[in-house]
Amino acid sequence: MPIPEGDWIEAAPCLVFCFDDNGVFCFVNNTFSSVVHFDQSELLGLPVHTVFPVSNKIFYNTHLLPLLTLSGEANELFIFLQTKEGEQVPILINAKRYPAEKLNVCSGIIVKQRQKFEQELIQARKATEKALHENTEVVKAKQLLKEKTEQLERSLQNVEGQNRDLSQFYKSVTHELQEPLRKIFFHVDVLRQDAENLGIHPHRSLQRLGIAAEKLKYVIGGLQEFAWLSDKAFEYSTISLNELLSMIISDISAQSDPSAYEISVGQLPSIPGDRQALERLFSLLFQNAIHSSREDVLNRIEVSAVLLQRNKYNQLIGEYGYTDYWRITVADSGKGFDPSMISEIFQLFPKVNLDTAIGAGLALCKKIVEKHAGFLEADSQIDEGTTIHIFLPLMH
Amino acid sequence: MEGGIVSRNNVRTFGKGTQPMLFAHGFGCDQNMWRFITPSFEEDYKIVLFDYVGAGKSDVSQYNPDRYAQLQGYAQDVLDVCQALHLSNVIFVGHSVSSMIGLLAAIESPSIFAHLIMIGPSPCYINDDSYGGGFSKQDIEQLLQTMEQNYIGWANFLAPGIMGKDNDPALGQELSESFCSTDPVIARQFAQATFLSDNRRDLANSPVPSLILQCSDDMIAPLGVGEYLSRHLPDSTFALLTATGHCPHMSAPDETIENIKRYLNANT
Amino acid sequence: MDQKIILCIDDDADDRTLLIDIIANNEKSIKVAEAENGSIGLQYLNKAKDNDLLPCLIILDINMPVMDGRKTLELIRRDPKLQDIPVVVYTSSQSPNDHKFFKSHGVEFITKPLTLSSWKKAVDEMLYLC
Repeated sequence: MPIPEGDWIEAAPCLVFCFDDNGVFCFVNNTFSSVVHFDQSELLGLPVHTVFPVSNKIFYNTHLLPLLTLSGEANELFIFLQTKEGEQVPILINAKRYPAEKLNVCSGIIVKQRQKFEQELIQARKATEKALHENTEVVKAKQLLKEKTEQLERSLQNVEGQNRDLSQFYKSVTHELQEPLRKIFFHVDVLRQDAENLGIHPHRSLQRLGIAAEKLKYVIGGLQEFAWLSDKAFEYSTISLNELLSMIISDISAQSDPSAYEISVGQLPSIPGDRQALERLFSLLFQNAIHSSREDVLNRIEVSAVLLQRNKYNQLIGEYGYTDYWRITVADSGKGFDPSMISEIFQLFPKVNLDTAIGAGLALCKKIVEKHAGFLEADSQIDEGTTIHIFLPLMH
Repeated sequence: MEGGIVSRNNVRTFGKGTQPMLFAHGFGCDQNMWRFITPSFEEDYKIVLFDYVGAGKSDVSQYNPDRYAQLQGYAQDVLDVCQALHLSNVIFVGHSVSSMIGLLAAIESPSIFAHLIMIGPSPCYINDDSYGGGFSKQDIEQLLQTMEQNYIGWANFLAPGIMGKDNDPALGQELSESFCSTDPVIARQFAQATFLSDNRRDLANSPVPSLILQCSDDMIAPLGVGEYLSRHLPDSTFALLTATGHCPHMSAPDETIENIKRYLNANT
Repeated sequence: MDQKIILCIDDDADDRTLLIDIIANNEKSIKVAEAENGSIGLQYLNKAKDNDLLPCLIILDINMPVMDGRKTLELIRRDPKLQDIPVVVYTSSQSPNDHKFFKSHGVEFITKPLTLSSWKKAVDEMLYLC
């Protein structure tokens, strides 16, 4: 074919094409048309991605167009064109945008040979990577490393947990047990003497003695349960949470005044767990929620569950392994507490300024959840209520 | 730590309003993609822009392939930014995959977010027996190959964090001015995380109202997908744009702005 | 004669009442003000500053919710109008750390005793500081 009169673009051995802002062809040169096996007239008015394979359409939308729109040009981009028969041709293009005319002009060259070479390079690199991957020694070492990392995470969690437990025990023994004991000694001493002269009535002392003894019993009970829970080996079975909670709720309503609160339970999953421990967990949470009821406001307690993913490594920093967890939320609209005290709330006998003591309850809840390889989060606002999130892994 | 996140994710805040509007870029680009949109919201909102780790001018040395192998790792970036800036009542605007990233972040911490605005969203890109995401597994594999091919010549001197410093100065300057500069290895991993993700099970858990901006003739997030989302995302508003393609916030900013404003006026 | 005021900061209601009873029995002229934690105690002191009704003695417990004894002492000592008021720590704690801390701040440290007569003696000691 002779060179068309002065028309170097038509004569050029490179592809030249042009499309508007709607992605529609407004010009293709001869070479372009002969590469894709479409007539020039066929292509005018058609969208550019008529000659793109699917993967290219994505790349066009996610890379080519944004580059053109934001920088006005895109250079050395590798794409595939698809011929009418479906064959794919590798092309290297430069593109330039003319904002005033709202046109994008592209030039490209076929890089079949180059692409073959680049493919070989990629394959070679992949082969090396694969060899490295499949190198049995490397694989073994990696697997071992993964297992050790998980073990380390668990150990750290255990140690962290044990340290916390120990320090809580120490605090409880040195303070919580001592207080009622001191009172007992004191009031026994008062009763022995003629205290009336000082204006201290024996009746009051007896009352205080009783209260102190109760407190002792309560603290020791809490400590005992805490220690027992730490030692107990959990027996796992599949627990239907809806069924478990219905049972707990009917027990509770037999024991307390149901007019102060209202419990609603959403669709909850069945999860692997120790039935006894989970029953205790939710009983304690409900007790806590009910205790925090405000006088003149109905306490709405809602239980819901959402499946989401969390990083299972929360002791090791920089290690990531996202796993499925059920997040079970118990939210009440009771008195709430100061959110800055959240870390203290979960200690064995927290000093929190509430009318009713929290006692060991929430610390036990935390222990139960952590022994299920889960974790607890809490949020609260004074006079609005408290939300407790329990994360339990899907798999035991 | 707060200052750490701001520099790690190249966070920028500006605007005269108090309610935060957080813009999350999609795969393939960085926060510059929002520059035709933010001026229309600057007066009334506090605009927050950021780059995911590995994109734009974020601190690439912080990239952790285990973390960012799934969208959850990116959702954590969003939460990190919100926590560092103590944001609440956030209007989250996400393009493409960032729509799902925003959804994951909202499910994780519902109290931070007020609305999710999704531009060209899709909960799953690969077809299965009952769902048409738009692509087959082979399509995605070829995309990843195209991406590899586009960076092969650059793989050596574009080692993470060293974009064009020791090489041809002209090229280096061009790259540093390039708006969609992304480490190529990381870009490929982001593509993999994006196109192999499946967030259909998370849709029902959306805790906040959302706006779905669906483009006409968007082959990455086709109409069928938008309709699927509209049926499965609770409390969602569906708006069909006349704009075509996948990036209406760049190709048709006026229409995009108008739709966002209309939604916000009706819902806040 | 100006009525003397003693401020008792202690979260244990029993102990506060006991203190009030013993003091009232001893010295009718002294009034005892109560606060159940350091924060409420400081609120009282700030109001007392304005009305020129500062106590002649502060009896301070250590383990209290909201604001404990250590923090309360720090804040009292930081305030030029309050720093000269004598403080005595009256606590059930037997911790040597606590003892050291308060001694180093020049504060008398008394462990709450177990018998009534010891309480009376302790109160006498405290009144002496007033």
